[in-house]
Amino acid sequence: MRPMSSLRFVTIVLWVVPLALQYAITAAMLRRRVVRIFPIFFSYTVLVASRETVLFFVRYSSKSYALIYWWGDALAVLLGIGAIMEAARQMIPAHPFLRRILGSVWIFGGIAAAMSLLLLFSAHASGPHPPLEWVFLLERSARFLQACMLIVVIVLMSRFGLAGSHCLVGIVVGFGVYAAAELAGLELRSHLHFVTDVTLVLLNSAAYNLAAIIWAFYFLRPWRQDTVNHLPDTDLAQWNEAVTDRINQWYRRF
Amino acid sequence: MVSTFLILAVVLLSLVLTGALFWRRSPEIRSAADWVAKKHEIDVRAFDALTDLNDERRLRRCLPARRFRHFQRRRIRLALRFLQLMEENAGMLTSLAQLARTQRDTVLTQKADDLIALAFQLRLKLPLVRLYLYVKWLVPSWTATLPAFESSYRELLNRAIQLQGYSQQALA
Repeated sequence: MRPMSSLRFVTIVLWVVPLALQYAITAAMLRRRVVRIFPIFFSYTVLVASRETVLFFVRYSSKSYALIYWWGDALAVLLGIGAIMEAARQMIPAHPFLRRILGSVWIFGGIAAAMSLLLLFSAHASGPHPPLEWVFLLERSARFLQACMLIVVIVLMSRFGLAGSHCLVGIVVGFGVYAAAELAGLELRSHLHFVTDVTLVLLNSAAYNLAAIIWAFYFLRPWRQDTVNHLPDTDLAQWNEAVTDRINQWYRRF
Repeated sequence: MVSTFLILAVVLLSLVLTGALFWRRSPEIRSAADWVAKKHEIDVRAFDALTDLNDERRLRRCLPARRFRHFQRRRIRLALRFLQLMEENAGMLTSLAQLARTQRDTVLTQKADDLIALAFQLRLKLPLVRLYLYVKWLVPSWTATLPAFESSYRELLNRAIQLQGYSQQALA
């Protein structure tokens, strides 16, 4: 019997580890009853774990394999974007002023992202396999959009006082690492042709493993119960008034 | 090439921000007692006095130009320090309110939401105040006003929301 090559061994490990972790995360979310709080992230976890399990039983070179893989990938990207928006919505209280801020951030961010995507599409370089190049372009664009959304959400998170131990931070950090690494890999492969397809696949798998480990760290460890039963009285309104007063004095409309 | 730079810039920025989020070292607030122990005592009247235009005019009349500039810059540095302490307090209160939101208490959650909104409003305004103080620090005798670009943006946003409200009513 031929010994397994090291590449095949690494590929199998990189495939099995996140699969096991995601089943564990699914079980933990069910046990902790947080599925209702994070339904989209839960759906994403279940989808990716299910897809990988199904693909294990399907012949690699068959048409079914390709269909399941690519449709699952497209759905995973959409759910990934949905999970980021879900994190933003969870983090920001249901206060009219704050929802207005979030709405305007999405509007202006969406316009900026659309303009950037147009730039990406217009700068698309053709390679030897046009259909594959288009797939890379679409995936690159989706990851670019995801990375931009993550930047916005992370900036908002730092303003909204979420502790580093909060599971929302874990969800966003996991997606951040994965989207950034895959985007870098796709750029190096599709536009710069610095890496081969095999290297790209390994890089993506490694990034996904890291994301799964981060999510597992947040969902599987014991959660600290910080009890805050009342809020203190503060001078926040007074400070706000003082600062507003100065702004009205120092700034004039022309 | 532009698209490559754009993508690599986005990748770098998302990685840096992700790392910063993960390894943030702000004062950790886990309870109301932590807030009491770590909060900064701020007297708003002191901030008002440091930034009061009448006091500034009096000082300009009474002091020689060079001494006035030196004294005014000290007042501005103190005012900036006040703003920094306000921001830190607002950050700690936001963290405390986020913890309060995890309790299944509607009244407490509402109070927490209001506190977060107020703290966020304050933190949105602080850069404008800082900008003016930095200009005044550079030119202590500056008395002119700056253009209110943020109020135009606020009006634009309010009009967009009004339009959204009208269109929803029309659809209903």
